[in-house]
Amino acid sequence: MASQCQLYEDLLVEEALGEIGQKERMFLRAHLDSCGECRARLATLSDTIGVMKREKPAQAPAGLAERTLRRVETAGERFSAATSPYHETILTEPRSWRVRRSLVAWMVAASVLVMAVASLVPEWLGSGSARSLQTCQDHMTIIGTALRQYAADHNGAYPRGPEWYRALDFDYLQRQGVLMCPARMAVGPSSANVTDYLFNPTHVSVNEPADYPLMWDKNSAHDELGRNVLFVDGRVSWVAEEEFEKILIKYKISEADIPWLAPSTDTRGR
Amino acid sequence: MAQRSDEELLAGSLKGHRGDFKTLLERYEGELFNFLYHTTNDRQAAEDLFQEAFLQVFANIERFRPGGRFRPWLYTIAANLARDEMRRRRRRKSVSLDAEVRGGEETAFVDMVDAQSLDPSMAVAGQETAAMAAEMMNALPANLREVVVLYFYNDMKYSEISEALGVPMGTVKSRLYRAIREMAHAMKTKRGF
Repeated sequence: MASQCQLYEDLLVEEALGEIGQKERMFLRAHLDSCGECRARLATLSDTIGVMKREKPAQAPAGLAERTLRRVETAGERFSAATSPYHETILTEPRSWRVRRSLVAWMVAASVLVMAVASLVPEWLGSGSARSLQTCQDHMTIIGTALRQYAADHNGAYPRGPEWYRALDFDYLQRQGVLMCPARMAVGPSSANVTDYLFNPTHVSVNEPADYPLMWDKNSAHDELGRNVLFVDGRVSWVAEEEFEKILIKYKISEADIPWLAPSTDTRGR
Repeated sequence: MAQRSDEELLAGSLKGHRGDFKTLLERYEGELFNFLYHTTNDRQAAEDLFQEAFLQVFANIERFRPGGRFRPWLYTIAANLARDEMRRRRRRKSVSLDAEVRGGEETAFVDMVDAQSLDPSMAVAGQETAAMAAEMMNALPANLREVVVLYFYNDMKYSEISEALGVPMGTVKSRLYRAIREMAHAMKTKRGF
């Protein structure tokens, strides 16, 4: 091969593949007009590529996926015949997840214990109103833990939509009762509401600032001076109404933007 | 409804959802088998390697990097398995050819193809093209053959091959061009012109 022909090596392949640019083609054509050796090489390359392109893709043997799945099942227990979602979860989750879930279970148990003690010894917490306030905070803490667990499994995103609590069902929240505020439960069951808490799903992820409000009491759940608020960092605090308004303004949270955040018309007692 | 991504199916598999893993298997059944078949030129080996690749996916599912892409990961596993298989075969072949090489003239690279290694179906008259393609492919080193298979048989673009094999696009092009030149040379030699 003449040394100048080496300049055209890649262009010859590109031409044979049909992937050459217009400028490069003109450049190559000018050379081919005067070089019989490169014309012959182009013919051989085109012939070779033609042979490759005529070959059809191989068809996989029937049932290959199913046979592979059976081999995988034989090799491990991940897809073993679990009889319930719970059984399946225990069998299949990596250890780190199980440890994390155990931690959640312990936290839930601890919260339940706190609630039980609080209900058995009311004087520890003062009046009934204070007791319900504390229990409400416990409920929100449990929900907050479940929400963080959910977010950890979903790339840091919290559940969305008016029925956000359904995403927590079973896998993240064992006791649906915690979705209700004790202060409101005291005045009878609500047929309209599954939860007494207002969840803020606008642009909320675990990456929001620690004091970003994630969920809060409906207005007047306890009294009109303030409400319990769950923050992104998992903290639950009693926040005065004036302060709460400032938080909403700070983060430009408008109830008008979130239909299910509209102020409750529920007139049940405080 | 939008099709679930490979990564979502893998996450479902991690949670123990058998159906998600099955969907992944079915999604790659044709594509990956095709890659393995043309890389090894052996249907039985391709089926074994397909199963082995997904066994490795299953065994290492917890090590899958969050935010990573499943397809390149799968192809990396499959390509490594195919390379191992070809190395094993080459070792076996080098033993059987040893006497011939020592006793006579040097064996040309393109002559290393053992006719018996070809799929029996290719020996049927009228399939000379397939046999020729397989022969040219077998003469290539593994890293070139992978690119050729993905380009011609899996119909992938340069960017897709780059992603699947985890190499830069420039490397994909240079490997493909080199492979085509070597195959053209082999074909010219075989045809005696």
